[in-house]
Amino acid sequence: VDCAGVVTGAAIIKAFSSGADGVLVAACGRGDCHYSNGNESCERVVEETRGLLKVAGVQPERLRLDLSSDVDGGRFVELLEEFSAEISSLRGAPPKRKPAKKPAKAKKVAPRVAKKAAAKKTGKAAPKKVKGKAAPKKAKKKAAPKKATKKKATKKTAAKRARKPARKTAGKTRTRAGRKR
Amino acid sequence: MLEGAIRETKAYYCLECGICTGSCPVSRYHPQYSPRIMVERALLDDDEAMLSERECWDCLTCGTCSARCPSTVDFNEFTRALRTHARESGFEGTDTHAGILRAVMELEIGRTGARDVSWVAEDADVSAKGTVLFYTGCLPYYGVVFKELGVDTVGMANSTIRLLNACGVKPVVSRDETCCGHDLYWTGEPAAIRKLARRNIKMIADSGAETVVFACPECYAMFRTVYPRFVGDLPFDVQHLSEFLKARTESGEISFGWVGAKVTYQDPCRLGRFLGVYEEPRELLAKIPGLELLEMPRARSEALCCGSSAWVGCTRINKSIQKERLAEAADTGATTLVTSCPKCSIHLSCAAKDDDTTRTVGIRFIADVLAEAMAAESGSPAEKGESAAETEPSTEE
Repeated sequence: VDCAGVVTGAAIIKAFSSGADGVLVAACGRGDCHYSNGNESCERVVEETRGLLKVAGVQPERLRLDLSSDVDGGRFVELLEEFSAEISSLRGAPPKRKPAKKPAKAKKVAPRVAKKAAAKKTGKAAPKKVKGKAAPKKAKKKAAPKKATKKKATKKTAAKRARKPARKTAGKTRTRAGRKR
Repeated sequence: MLEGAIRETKAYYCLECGICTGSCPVSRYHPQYSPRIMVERALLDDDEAMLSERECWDCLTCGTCSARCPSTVDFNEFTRALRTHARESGFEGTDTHAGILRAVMELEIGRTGARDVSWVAEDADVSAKGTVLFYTGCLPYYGVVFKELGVDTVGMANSTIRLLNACGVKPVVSRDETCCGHDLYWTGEPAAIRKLARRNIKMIADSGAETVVFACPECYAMFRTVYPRFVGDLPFDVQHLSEFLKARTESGEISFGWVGAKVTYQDPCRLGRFLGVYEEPRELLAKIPGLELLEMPRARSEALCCGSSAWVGCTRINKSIQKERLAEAADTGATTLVTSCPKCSIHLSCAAKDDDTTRTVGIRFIADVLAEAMAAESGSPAEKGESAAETEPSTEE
């Protein structure tokens, strides 16, 4: 996304719903927002989302907002490694997902050991080719194990945005197409 | 496409009388929206075009039209079928609150861990197993989202537990509870309901509960009317808090202290028109000494909806309906509007925030009012020499 200010709680929660073990929102440093205060307004969104995750039994530590990772590549790598390690240390701690209770279908497709990139919500790449209601969801789930091997922590970057259409965006695109028709 | 729905809802009986559109709170502020025309279009096979229209998502599913229809066409079910087809065709309504509540519902479908129950207040006693279970529904989630609005839904859940405690019941509040699926069901996503129903039924069976008490009429309506259609008869008794308490007040298990206030009562659509529970909440309020219940002109089956449902679509139309209802409540002379539905509390409190009239009423949830009355001293202030103001229920801060 262009700015942490447009990250919604819904996008973060959807990332958890689709199997992410953690979500890192990497934003510009305090006072460095290109759009005045997007990164700081994101703090409120993240705070609220943490509250909701807590009720659902997902440890709030699994969602982190970092306000320092704009241009510093070294710092960013450090941050990912640190967050990834923290999430790994949470594994097994209650209330962790229990595979036995998982819906059977999801179990087969994407074992929860997977850590995957968070879904992103804008995605201009939104898929004209994706047709049929179930398609975007499937694409998302299948993406999970692939990413798992590659990357431990989750994060939101423009690079990843292009790969995977968020379901909601896909729906909207179709809606507009339908209206024209 | 909608043949099945037309058959099920008896839409072919439509007389084109227009009572539905005349009764519809949405049509009043959005003249292009007409239940009658939607039914006619479906009968004339124009349903494909309807799927993409915004009007498909405007219905509040309040049931006023169905209640008045001389041909007993079930327009609610018709809307639900239409939405299910719309969603299957890739159309959806506009989620309110940036979609966060829908995301929570989807998280609940796939949730496998246990919920957090640390919100239960220290003075509220709950147990892990017992014969009565309190189904909390979304209340702990709404507590996070609507804190800024000043609607304390966690407080509502705690008030409910305190009331149950006063009846000598230590209710089960289960960590394995799952979303009831009401909002998904009414916005055209019935696919998950069977799964949610089975999980909830298993959770209740595991707790050993024989009676399940609901604070939220929507969860209650799901359990009472929708779940049996998906999974057959439920192996336990379901009751709304007001029904449960009414039986206990009659047997004298709980009594209320003096609360000097004028209140009016908002009938929630699910509890009222859907399930016919009109009198129990009123009788409970009538049992509070000093509390005067003033009815709005449109009450019981004629009650006006709180203006929004299932977290889809919140526009000028919805706000207008809510303000209309608030004005009606204020005109009764009441200082507080009491409702039995947490969502009515949320929607009306939101509208009260930007109501530009000076006539404002406080919005309160019935469990909060009852719990406060239970804790109040008995005897009127006149007898006790206190000022009435001290015992008047404060409006939500």
